[in-house]
Formats: sequence, structure tokens, C-alpha cells
Amino acid sequence: MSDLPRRRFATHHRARLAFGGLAVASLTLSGCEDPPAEPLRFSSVEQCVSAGYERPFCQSTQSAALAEHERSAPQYSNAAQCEAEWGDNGCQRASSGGSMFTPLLAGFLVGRALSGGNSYYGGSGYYGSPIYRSRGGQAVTAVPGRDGIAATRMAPVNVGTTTVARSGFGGRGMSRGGGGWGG
Amino acid sequence: MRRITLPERSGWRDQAQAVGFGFHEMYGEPYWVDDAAYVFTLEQIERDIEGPTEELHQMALSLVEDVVGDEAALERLAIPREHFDLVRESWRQGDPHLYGRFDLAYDGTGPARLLEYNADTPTSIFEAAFFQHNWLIDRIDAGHLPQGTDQFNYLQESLVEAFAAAFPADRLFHFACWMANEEDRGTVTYLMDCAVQAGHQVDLIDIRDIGTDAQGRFTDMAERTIDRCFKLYPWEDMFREPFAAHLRPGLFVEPPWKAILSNKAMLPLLWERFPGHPNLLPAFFDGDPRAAGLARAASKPFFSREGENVTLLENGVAVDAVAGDYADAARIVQDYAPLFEAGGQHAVLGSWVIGDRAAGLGLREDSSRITRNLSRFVPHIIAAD
Repeated sequence: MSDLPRRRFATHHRARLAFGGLAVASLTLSGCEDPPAEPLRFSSVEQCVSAGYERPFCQSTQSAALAEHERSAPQYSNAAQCEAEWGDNGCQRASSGGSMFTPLLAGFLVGRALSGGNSYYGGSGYYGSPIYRSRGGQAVTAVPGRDGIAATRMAPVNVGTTTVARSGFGGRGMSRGGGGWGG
Repeated sequence: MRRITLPERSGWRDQAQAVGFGFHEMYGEPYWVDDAAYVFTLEQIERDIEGPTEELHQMALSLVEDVVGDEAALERLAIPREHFDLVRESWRQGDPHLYGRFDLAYDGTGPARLLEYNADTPTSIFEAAFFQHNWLIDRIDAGHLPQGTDQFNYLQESLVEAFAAAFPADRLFHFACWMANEEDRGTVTYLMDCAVQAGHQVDLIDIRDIGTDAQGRFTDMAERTIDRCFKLYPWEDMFREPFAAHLRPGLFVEPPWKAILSNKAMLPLLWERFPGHPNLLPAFFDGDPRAAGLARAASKPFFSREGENVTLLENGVAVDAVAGDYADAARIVQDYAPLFEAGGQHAVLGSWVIGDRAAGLGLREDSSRITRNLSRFVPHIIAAD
């Protein structure tokens, strides 16, 4: 125990928060475009944990990246084509089986920021995005419109549907002046 | 228990700004107090706050167990009849809950007394869990407080744990609130962050942007179904709004059964169930002749927030009152408990339950004996031996 044993409750060093407190909520409200966050890159869960994040967070982020990779990594019909793009030893057989090749999954991204507004969601550009190593050794990710990689698409766990009505909650709050419902 | 003052931390406002804690001032008044603290002994915290909080929580749960099987009690709690099944089902199928805050009157001597239970939409969790903790660590690092100084606060760790333990990360976890309110939005963002730490995928939505699809499922702005949703919006309102017909158990956090506890009508029911319990104050429904026997009492609407429409009575005559939007609501009368008083301030202890564990404390003080929306948040410490 590096922590001081005399303190029963408060730990001296806490895991870092993904949003860094509430700052993201302010950014969201002020309508800024993507905040200038610097996503962190990790090649393993252990590396992510040792950077101070919670293990379940690191694990879920890595799984999100893997899922996104399986879904949307660029595919090549043979190793030579793939390696022409991604360098020698830069490719692997696609996990979907068959004869396709994809770039090697080199790691995953952890962003401090929400991507595209309110979402903090796997595989959509920041958090949980797969990382590849380009021919030149640069880490790249599949952000739409960058580096010539096909745009990734978020594939939600939740079912897609069509909304037929909105604003069915919140009205009574409105009638009281919208003053906050916490107590 | 005592109140001390110390010089404020230089740069704490910048720190607050940096983490988005813009509501350290509210209504043009300071809300976060950096230059004072309430001091407890470890014995006071363990014996008088932590233990009783867990006991009160268990008592509250056993009250829910009774009430869901008792239509007359559901009626007395002003839960609309058409939602009895929703409340019952959510309890019987074990819909998990996340958190709640007991407001306690305590002055360092004698038992802490329950003023009310914010079981549905409690706020001030960010201040208590995060900013208060940083305050302590800064103070220790700066040498203002001795190394062994503690704080009853493992709120953040407990929230992450509760999010991981109570909810499988098998679907998107939506977080809904009234986004125009900075304090509510901050509270929800913080909780969302704790959920992310626990491995959840999350999305934030304004409560008014929730939609429904043709099957009556709730939907978000990206046309996805909402399958699990934290909402910082009271059940008593959701029960009575247009989408109420689409409500079902197993979806919202806090769950529908919390409507039984977030309601001040639970106070007389709890007193009936556990008469004379040292952590309870005698409480009665308005009009109960026993209420007239209380020399000093507080009259409270079932659902008011932030002290609205609370009236202090002496021998049945109002001596102090706060205006508000709940004037016409049904009321309860509760025996008066003096608050800890120092420097012209009255302090209320907010003792948090996360999951089923007492996990931390936050204090708010007010110049009035009724804690209102102008009350201020003051950090606390447990003195080193």
C-alpha cells in the first residue's frame, strides 16, 4: 500500500476521468466543434491502465476498437496489395476468415473528448477507435475523410428505429421555469 | 464537530473553471466555499453518520417492500393509480438503483436525524465526490492540513463500482436531464464519466428530446432506441407527462420504485413503521391530530425541492417560510430538529448511499434555518488523530 494507511476513506491518487470533470458539458453547450483534445494511444490494456485509467474502461475501449476494426478496416484481396499500402509485416488475415487482408491492429485510442457532440461512444473517431501503423510508421485512425481510409461508421448496439413523437417529457419542468430538478 | 476557516486556495476558481464547475457561483452568489471546513472525528463519522446511513437505507428498502404490496399506502404517496403496476414491477423484478442522499440534522452530539431522503434526483454529487476531494488533497499537499487528515468520501470509487456491478455494459447507457440547467447538466456529465470508467458506452440527451417510435419505445436524436437511461428528472413529473403511458420497468435509473422514497410522504410512513427510531423524527400527514402536539415543526410539501414552500411552525403558527411552486401540494409535518450552527450558518449533512453502501458526505450551509437553493457547499474533513 503506497497510500497512507491512516486514512480510511480518501485515497491520495485517483484514476483519471475520461472527461476531466465537467468540462465537456460546457463545450457541448457552447456549440464548439470537436474540442481540441489530444487522444491518447495505447497498444494494450496494461499500457492504458498504467496511464491511470480504470481497467474496465480500458478493456471496453479496446473491445470497441477491435469491434470497429472487424467491421470497417480496409480490406485487400491479397497480402501484397495490403503490404503495398501498409508496409512489410503491416498486414494480417482478416478475422472474418476467407482470403482477405487488413492492416494490423496496432492499438486503440482514448480521447479526453466527446466526439461529434454529446456522444462518448466506441468506434466513432476518438474513443475506442482502432489504430493502424502506416507505411511511414505513423499511427493513423479511421477518422472520416482523413488519410484515405474509408470512413468508419458507428454501429450502435441499440436498435435503430424511427421516432414518431418527441417532447413527451420535461413539460412539467418547463411550467415551473426549468429551474433544475436536483434536490 | 466544528467549523474552521482557512485561507482559500489560490487559483481554485481557475481549477473550477478548468473542470467545468461553472456553478461554483449560483444566482450571483458564491456556492462553493473554499476557505472553511467542517471538522469531524472518525468516531462521529463512523458511529453517527456512516452506520446510521446504511441503517436508514435498509429501513427505506424495507418500507418499499411493504408499500408495493399495499394499495392504500401507494395512494397516500400520491402515486397515480395507473402507475402502481410500474412501481410494483420495478421493485419485484429488482430494477437496480444507483444513488441517493439522506439529509441529516446533526451537531456532533446525539443521533443524526433524518430530514429527508433525496432518493430520486439528488444533486451536489460532483461537489461532494470530486471537487471536495481535490480540495482535501490540495490542502494536504500544500501542508495546510496534516497528512493523516481524512474525508468521508469514496464517492467516486463507489459510483464507478456501482455502475459496473449493477448494470451490464450490454447496451448504450443514455443520460437525460434538463440540459439548460448548468447544475443538472454538470451532475449528469459527471455521472456519465463514472459510467464510462465502469466500461459503459454513454450518450447525453435532453429530457425534452426523448422521443418514442411506433412501438412505443423511447428513442434518442440519432434514431436509436433508449434501452437504459439515467434521468435527472423526477418520477412524480414523469408519471404525469404525455409519455407516461410508454413507461416500463427495467429502463430508467433511478428506477420507478424510488418514487416511494423521494417523496416526503415516506417520512410519516417510515415513522409508523419504525416508531421511536433514534435517527427518525416524528412525522405525520398534514391534518393528523398528532401533528398538533409538536411544539416546533416543519411543514413540507410531498415533492418540493430546495426548500421550496417549507414552513417552520411554532405551536402551529408559521414563523419562517420559503416561497415556491409547490404551495398547493399535499404536505407532511415533521418534528423540528435544530441544525448545527456556527458563524451565523446552519449546516445540513448530505450523506450519500451509492449502491447499498454509505459512501460519503457533503455539507451545505445556509443563513436561514431552511436550506434553500442559495445554500453553499462547504468541504469537510476528519481530523487526523
